Amino acid sequence: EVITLTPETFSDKIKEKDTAWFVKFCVPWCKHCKKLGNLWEDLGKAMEGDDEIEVGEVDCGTSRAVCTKVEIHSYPTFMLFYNGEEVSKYKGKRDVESLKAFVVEETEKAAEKAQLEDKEL
Amino acid sequence: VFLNTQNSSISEFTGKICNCRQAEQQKYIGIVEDCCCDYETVNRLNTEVLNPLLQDLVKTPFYRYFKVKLWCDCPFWPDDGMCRLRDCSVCECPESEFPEVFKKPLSQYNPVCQEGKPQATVDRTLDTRAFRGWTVTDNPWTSDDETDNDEMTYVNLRLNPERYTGYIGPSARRIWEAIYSENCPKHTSEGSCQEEKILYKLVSGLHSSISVHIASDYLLDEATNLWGQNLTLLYDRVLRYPDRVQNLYFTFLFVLRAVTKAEDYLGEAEYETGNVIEDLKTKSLVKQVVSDPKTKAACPVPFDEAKLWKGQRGPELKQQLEKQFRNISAIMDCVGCEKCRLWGKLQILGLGTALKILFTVNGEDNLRHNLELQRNEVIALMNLLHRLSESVKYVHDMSPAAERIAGGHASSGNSFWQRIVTSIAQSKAVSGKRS
Repeated sequence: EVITLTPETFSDKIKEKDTAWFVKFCVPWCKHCKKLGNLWEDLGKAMEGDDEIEVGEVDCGTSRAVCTKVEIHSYPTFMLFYNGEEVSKYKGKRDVESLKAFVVEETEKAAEKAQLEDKEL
Repeated sequence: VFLNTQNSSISEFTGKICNCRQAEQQKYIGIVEDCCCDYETVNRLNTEVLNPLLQDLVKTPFYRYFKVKLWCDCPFWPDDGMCRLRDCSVCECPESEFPEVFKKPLSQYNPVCQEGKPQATVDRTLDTRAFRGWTVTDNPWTSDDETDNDEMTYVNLRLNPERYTGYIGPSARRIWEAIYSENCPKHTSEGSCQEEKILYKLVSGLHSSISVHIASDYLLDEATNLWGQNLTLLYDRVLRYPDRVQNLYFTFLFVLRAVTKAEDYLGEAEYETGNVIEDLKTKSLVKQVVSDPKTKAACPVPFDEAKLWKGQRGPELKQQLEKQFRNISAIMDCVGCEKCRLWGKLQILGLGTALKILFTVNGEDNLRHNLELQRNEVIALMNLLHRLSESVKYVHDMSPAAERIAGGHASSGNSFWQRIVTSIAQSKAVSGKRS
């Protein structure tokens, strides 16, 4: 499942406790975004079994404020958030297996880091 | 890139402004290397004759539309294509706008089919035409199969000008590195064959031309969408490296030679789009470009290909160059920026067409009957010539100003405003790398 994020929902969603959000930022006029085809929907399906990871997308044409806020300057950008904070951007091969491997690995790292920080409090 | 590590001293001028300008304008004198015309003649012909004609020509309906495959996968590394500015995107032409004639399948002229027919002997004897209709043969110099119409995009070039796109950084650098290092090594030893230098010089000249276009139409301020000239970029990318300027002139003359060598074919060709008045104008402009008496008188042989690849090494050399050029052509599918890909493909096809013409069997009578070009090839060829012409003109016109601003020493005063202008220009140029 892919959740479309808007200026009204973006901040609250990515702040969900102990949840990773993997968000695609695109604009309608970018053919590199169009060329992705069903990639993001397929990734959403692949991640359905994992409650800790959500797949989202932002249309930077209609939700310009969101993209300005998180400083998106090129499209497509694939950004991972954890507990409301940006974790990393994906820059590898654009296929489901590669994306899934990335998001699982980075989420584990982010979760471990968050636990560490919780202990320090 | 090794080019950027070359030592290049900035020439300093002393004396009055007028003297500096004279010296600057005469910076490139004498014969263009490997060519047969001098810089002064090229500049004059280009400014007075060729550039005005080409500007009009590429606006005509025939030369305005280009057919291109924009979405082939990169064969060399994973797709990292991105858009940054909206101006990166190609505005595609709705099929209804594309000239109807262009879409009709071409009946293929096939000499073999004429064999055995009684009329064949008579036809062959009497037929003196150079042009026998547009062909659908694949260009052996490029990696795209021009006969395959699948996934072709129709583009109105006037709506997609070549200019700064924000395509910078590792992705852009990798393209040029792949082109130079893998397929276009620069021969530094004096003993290397002159023929093998040709490809490097052509690519370098094309690269310089593209850099000039980027500098001449640059996004100075993204927030206000302010476009203008970036003379510091022009200096840093092109003018401070004499061989880049020289190769620009070389490539221009090379393509000009191809165009004039195909004079009969291009002069007889059918420039039909359905707009009769415009088509007649197109034909007239083409004839002027390829047959201008001033050009013929002043610069009869812009590039003497006969001197280079006659002899026994000819076929071997052709094969080698074809292979290298096809690799360069394939790299165009790795260009991440869509508009850069469009213009990259057009200019590579134009260059491939020029090579195709110049490698056609030499001799006027043979050329007349052996040359076969596609409509799209001719469109690419003339648009390339125009792009090169614009770059040569811009370099010639703007060198003095760019040297003063970015060179730093040409100006007799280092005034407050001079420093402000330089500072502003440099801050803009920081975002613009070799792309």
